[in-house]
Amino acid sequence: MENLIKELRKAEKWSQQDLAERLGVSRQTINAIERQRYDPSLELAFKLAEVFGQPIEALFIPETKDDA
Amino acid sequence: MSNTIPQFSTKQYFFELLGAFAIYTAVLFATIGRVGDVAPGSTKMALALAPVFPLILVFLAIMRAYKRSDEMHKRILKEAFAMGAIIFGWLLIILGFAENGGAPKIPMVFIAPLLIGFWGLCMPIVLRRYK
Repeated sequence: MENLIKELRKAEKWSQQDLAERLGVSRQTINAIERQRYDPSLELAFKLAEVFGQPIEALFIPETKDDA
Repeated sequence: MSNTIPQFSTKQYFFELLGAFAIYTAVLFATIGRVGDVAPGSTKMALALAPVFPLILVFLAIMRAYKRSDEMHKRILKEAFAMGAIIFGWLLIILGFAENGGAPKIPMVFIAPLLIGFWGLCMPIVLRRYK
């Protein structure tokens, strides 16, 4: 699943470590999410939405059937 | 939703596990040869069971690493365990058949440490997928 975490984080001028500390996860996890290597759990996705003050659908772009 | 920052470190986990295994191996080799020389009784049983106690350190190291992990690292640990168990299980089946052909039997005491060892060996393979 694609996401806009990196763009949103950069807009806030946060480092990966800053975002990791706000979410209570490791920097490696933020890196993996931004590189689309790891899809966060629903709980973490909601935390991300809360931290960025955006609805969850503004952060993640689900794969459509045409993409698969 | 807790906001604690996980302190998982692959290096710390590796050294904790290595240290625990070193103690286990030392106790195992210090006692295993002597068990046969001791007359049956409580001393023999204590010597035979002595390696079980340092093995607790191994399990504690694993549990500490798991507790320190965030959700992605927990997933990595679980995937590495599954991969290690499948590979080790497959090797056990091969060795089981090889025993029929005259290959030596693996003592039961080595099964769990080897399984944990395979788990550790699979960690870097799984980690690569998330980097």
